Amino acid sequence: MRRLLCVAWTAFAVQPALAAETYTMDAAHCIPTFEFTHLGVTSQTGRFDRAHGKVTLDPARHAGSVRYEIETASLNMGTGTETPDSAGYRLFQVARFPTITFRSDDFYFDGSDRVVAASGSLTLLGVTRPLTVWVRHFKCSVSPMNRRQMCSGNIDAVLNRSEFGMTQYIPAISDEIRISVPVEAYKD
Amino acid sequence: MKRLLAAGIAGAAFAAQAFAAASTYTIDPEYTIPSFEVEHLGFTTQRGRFDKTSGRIVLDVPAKKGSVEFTIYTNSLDMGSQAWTVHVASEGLFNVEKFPTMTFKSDDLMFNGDKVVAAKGNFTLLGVTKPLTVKVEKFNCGVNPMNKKQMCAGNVTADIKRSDFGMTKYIPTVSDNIKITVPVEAYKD
Repeated sequence: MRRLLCVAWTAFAVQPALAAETYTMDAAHCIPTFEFTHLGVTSQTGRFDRAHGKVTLDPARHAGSVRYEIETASLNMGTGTETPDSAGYRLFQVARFPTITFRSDDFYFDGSDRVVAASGSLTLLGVTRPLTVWVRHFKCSVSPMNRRQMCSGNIDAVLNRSEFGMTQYIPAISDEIRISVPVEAYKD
Repeated sequence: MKRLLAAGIAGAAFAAQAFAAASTYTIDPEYTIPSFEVEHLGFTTQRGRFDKTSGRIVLDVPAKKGSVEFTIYTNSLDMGSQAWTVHVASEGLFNVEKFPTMTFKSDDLMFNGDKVVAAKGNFTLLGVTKPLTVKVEKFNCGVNPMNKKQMCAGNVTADIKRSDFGMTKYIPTVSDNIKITVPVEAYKD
């Protein structure tokens, strides 16, 4: 009986692994931007130019996971002033925390097997907090450009940076940060 | 004839007064960085940015008048990846070598009370000039608490069809519609 249970369990565990497919994000088309409010008025945008990630998807089982990593040293505010002493580098403590990571193994699907959200955790300044991101326009199909199988979507999230201990310049630079990541990921 | 002259003088006096009441603001290029959004393959919303701009704004809030001249330097295009930047800067797209600037000019600002809410003007892209009305949100004038300088600011957005300006390459793989967003922070001269 015990053996049977064990075998059954193994089979069950192996099956999703077989059915799940792994996708690697196209680094040129998964560049994260973030938006904050400056002096309570303007929406200013910053960007990290280097990020990479992997997604596993098993739409039939409504399962999936993602690991997405941003290199903080690739911060680019557009002013060409990013140096170890610039405000941006100091805010993100780039030397001490080279990556910002989002991990999730809890995907939400709609009735048409499309991913609509992912619940996971974000690690920023070494602090890990739960974060749920929204996924819009999720779609899997063949890219007309290179004929490869691709899954894609627009990711949005909102967080309060103070929850990660990033409190400098609040409220001149808003506590609330809005994040957008377009994701185009190709099947391995 | 005398009356005409008198009217002319009165007109000149009025113009001088309006000029005296108007203030000129110079945009702060560090906080006035335009970004644009396109739909890629109908899949994702991809963003690009121009890192260098200049501009002046004349405002006469009591008279509900004003004008703006805004220049984007196209060779400051920054897509986040070098290869992609070179591609988007090339002939057929922004063609930055041949067209080093994009401009927006307006002398028709629309007000709601004392807030600017829109600007009707002309946009020049790839040497083609077309009318464009931009939306202004969260317009506000006041003293920047960081540097104690008089500032006017707002978020400017516009939608254009790039094909109107002759930029037709890769439509519809890269969408015809482009959404433009410019946070504007300008200091009184």
